[in-house]
Amino acid sequence: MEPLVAAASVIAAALAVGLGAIGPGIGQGNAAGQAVEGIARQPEAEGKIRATLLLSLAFMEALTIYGLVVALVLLFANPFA
Amino acid sequence: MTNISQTNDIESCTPEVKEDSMKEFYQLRNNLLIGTILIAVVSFILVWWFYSFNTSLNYLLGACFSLVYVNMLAREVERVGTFKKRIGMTRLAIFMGLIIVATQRQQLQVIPIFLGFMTYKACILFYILPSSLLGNLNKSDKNG
Repeated sequence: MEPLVAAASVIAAALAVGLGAIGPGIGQGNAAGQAVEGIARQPEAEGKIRATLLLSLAFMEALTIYGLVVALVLLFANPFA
Repeated sequence: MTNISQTNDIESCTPEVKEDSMKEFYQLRNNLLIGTILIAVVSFILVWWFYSFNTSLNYLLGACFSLVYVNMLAREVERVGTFKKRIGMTRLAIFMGLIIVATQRQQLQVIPIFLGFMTYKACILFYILPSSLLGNLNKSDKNG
């Protein structure tokens, strides 16, 4: 692999994971915090709140996974090498 | 008055009431796991039919990790606010390991494994879309 391509791939991988994790990270934190607050206010709706949290976390974490896949492919199976 | 009513609310939240309220969550978790297994089996057969047995095995490997991922996510959501104070990222380590092994091994293919891992998302979409579409239809019926 050429040094320039290798360097660009490593930087791109870092950016893909880093930038891809910022948004979902903030979103997951907010969602979990609000869910705990909701459970504290309405303990009788705990199941419903946790079910909604599970679905929303699954959707949010998929965004991180996309960035992770791009980064890992760039690092370990680089198509430009 | 507010304090008294809050105290009554807290007192009324016995373990039995909590168990009843958690029923919906456990039902969703079981539905997601069963749905993921069903979609994985159907996709495994389709991939075997249209591509090859090797590709379908790769897909199945990803689907198995998808099941583990959903289970871990559900367990973590169950513990949020009780045992754990924050949501961890250990689930992603499993996925990272899977993709790294897939890229290093000649026998494994990255795309079928990744798509197999995404089976849980297909299951969630299949679970959510009918209820949300039917909900919108019911609302429009009531308005109209």
